[in-house]
Amino acid sequence: MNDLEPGLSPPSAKAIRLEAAMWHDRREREGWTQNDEIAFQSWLNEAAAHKVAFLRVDAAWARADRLNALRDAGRDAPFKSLSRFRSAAIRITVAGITLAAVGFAAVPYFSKSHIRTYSTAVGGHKVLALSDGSRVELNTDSSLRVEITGKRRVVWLDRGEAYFKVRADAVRPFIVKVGDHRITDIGTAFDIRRDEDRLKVFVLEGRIQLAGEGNGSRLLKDGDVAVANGSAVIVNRETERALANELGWQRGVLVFDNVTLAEAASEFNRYSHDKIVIPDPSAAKITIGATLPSNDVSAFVRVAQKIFGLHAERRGDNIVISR
Amino acid sequence: MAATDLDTWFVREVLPLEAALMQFLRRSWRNRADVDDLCQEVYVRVYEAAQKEIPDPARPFVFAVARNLIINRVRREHIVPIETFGDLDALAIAADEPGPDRNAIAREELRRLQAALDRLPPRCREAVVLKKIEGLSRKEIAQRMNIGEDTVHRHLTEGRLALADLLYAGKPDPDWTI
Repeated sequence: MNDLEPGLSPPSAKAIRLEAAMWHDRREREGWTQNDEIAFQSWLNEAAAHKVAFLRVDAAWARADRLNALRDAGRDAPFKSLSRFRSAAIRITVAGITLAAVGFAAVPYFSKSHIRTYSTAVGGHKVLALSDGSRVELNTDSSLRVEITGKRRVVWLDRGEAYFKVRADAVRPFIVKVGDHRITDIGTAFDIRRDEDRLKVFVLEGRIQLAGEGNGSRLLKDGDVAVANGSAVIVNRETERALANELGWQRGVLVFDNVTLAEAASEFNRYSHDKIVIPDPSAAKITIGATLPSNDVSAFVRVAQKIFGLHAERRGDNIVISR
Repeated sequence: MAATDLDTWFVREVLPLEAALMQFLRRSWRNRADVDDLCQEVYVRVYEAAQKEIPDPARPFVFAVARNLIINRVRREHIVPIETFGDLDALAIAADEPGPDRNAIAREELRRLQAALDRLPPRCREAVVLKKIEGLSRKEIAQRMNIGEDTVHRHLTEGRLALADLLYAGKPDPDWTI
């Protein structure tokens, strides 16, 4: 192929890989003739180096076919419950991380200016690739709308929790609207969780601006966690580790670090139609440190039974835990 | 090109080792500029050996080839970079960990692909997206991007090259741009 420097001996890996990629792309073009194919085959068989470089680019290109999955909104896979976990004293670690129902979906890249809605069911999880290059992950029981045009990028988080990894764009700020609040991104990764009237924003990278209805806006930077309740906003600093724990859902786990059983149960209940109920206050106040699969209520129940010696009983959709 | 057993084996067993192989080569060989060539050379030797008999399992064989290659290079060049021998014996070949479930693998793969896509130069990414996700023909891509088909060819070639590096080597080569 003619674009290569002459006289390289032996040709560098880079040169051979470039040749392989050019051949690979050329073969797809219209007007590929028998003679072209002969020339290609003779190049291919000339050296094992050509062969392996071609196999590599061919395999990578075939893998990229999966990007096709981004074309259509995915459906949630059936609920799966497989958990292998070993328990050690009070610290529980899940060996095989299991994931809740998985769905892939995306706004097609370069879509026109209409608004699209994406939702997950209870226990669901979706990865969205937005047309501007940003990535969004939706947690359980969540819903958002997306509008991306040449002029603006707006997302409405109507329910639940979403993680945003925003591609910087000086012309089109990335705005997330949550009820009366708006979060304006300044090149960042952040997570927003909405429970009824309460809004929680975790800033993982970069900076964002949080503005509420009627009150002023404030700037948040990485490590900040803002809780907005009506017009009141409280900002705390969190360690990187604590933030990573909060984002455990992306890996399909819930991380509890010294929280009460009642708090852990309400966290689990977000992901499940079966709800854990702990009417006994003395049991509800037990504290727990554990990492558990978010899609497996039974893991939580086993911890309660085996480690804390509690009693569990199913009543309809409820799992009642008591002494 | 009809895929032979050998080619299928190479793609399935050897290429996925590239990130680990590159890491090993970078640790073992001082001159980073040579690492791509060393990796390619390992592939050639592995492929040629496999034409006679396919080694099973692949991983220890691939790393043994890499190790011999480094040792021979060191001898030939009469230099012993300080770090060179350090890691050769400590070649940790991780035991197979229990795999994550299929959904997790599929999602991880999609994330990786997305990340790779995000790292392509913008025009190149656009061409790849139009091809792979939107499924447009080259002519349509040319029209949509308002460029000639030769430029589409250049973007798609660059995209192929970059995706192979990102997906297999796991890190971008700063000099992709053709």
